Amino acid sequence: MGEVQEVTDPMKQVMEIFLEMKDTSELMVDLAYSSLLYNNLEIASEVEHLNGQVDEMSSKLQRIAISDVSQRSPDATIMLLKLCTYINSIADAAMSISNVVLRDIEPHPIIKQSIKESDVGIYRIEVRGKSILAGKKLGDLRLATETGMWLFAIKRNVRWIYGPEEGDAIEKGDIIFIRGPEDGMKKLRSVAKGKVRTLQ
Amino acid sequence: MGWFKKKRPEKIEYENIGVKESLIEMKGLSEQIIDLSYSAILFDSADIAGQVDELEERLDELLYNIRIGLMLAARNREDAEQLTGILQVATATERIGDASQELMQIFEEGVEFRPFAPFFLKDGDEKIWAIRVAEESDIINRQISELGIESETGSRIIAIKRGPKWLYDIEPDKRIKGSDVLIARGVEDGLKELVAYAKGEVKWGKYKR
Repeated sequence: MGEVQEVTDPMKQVMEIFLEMKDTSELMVDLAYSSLLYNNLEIASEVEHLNGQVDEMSSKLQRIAISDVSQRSPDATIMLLKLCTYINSIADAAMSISNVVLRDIEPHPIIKQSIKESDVGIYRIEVRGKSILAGKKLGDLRLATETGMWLFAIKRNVRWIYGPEEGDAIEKGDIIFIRGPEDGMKKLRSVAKGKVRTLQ
Repeated sequence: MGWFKKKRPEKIEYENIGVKESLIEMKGLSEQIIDLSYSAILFDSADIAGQVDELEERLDELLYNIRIGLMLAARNREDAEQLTGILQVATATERIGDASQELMQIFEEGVEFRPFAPFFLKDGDEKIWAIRVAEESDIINRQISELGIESETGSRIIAIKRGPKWLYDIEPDKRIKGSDVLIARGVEDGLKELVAYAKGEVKWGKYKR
């Protein structure tokens, strides 16, 4: 996730904060379900961490919306505040989902099954050294366009990359966390294993 | 969906479908309802907003089913502890429904959001586009699953506008028709590909999959 740049135009500034909030809330939902699916505390605490970021962005956005945007258009301010509340609710829901993991009880198998059997699934795949994915930047791979799979996290040894950007590369041995339809996952899995040499 | 109104929550009838099935449906609905909420504002569509209400009602029903199913399932303390987690997930997805419905009130409050909505909602990692299918496109009369639109273009169809009618139940066997407007969510590259197919500029071909 990129830094929100200082822009003088308040409309542009709120737009940038808003988009960052929206993308973060979507990432949180993906991570929340992953934390349950893999009973993973690290992912669950990242959801908590991101929630803090959403809160910060939210107060910043509300402040600008009220102090600067409202002079230009009260309607735009109302819309922004409503969207802000909405995204906060989604972030809270994600928190609440991942909180299940933070208790010391293994999540009920039904939870895992329901995530697995959804038509938008969440999967993790290891990238082998002989795969064409290894060493390539996400921006060049265009995974979402080619396979329908959205890559939202990478585990590299002990390190995590949450919400990777176009400039981030996949390395051999990475575990990639992806969301999307099952047929897309199968396609990507063969490529990650090195069995298939093209994403087309 | 929505065959009875939600006015009195206590009147929701218990439907004997399993907890797992209910949870799967809730997860799907909570994702769909977010996409539809943004779409309703982005395309200024009261019809889509109405669909958000319908889905919210369904989420309520499902949560009710899950509550009952879980109460019947707990035999001891350990059971109850594990089952509480299911309830927590279900409640969270239902809250997304509530929040969506609340957001849709913007349509009733006379807020002039139209000029600003595209400015705030047209971007993001994943975007939502309205794509018209031209008569010369070869995706016409073919099933969404047969085409594999999502895995081929990364674009997920969340609704279809067909003439004056809106279709929200996008089952895999649904066929695309000429002059359909597809409401699709995806990354820009993939959406552009879908536009090219929909315009008929690029042929999907027979054996793509």
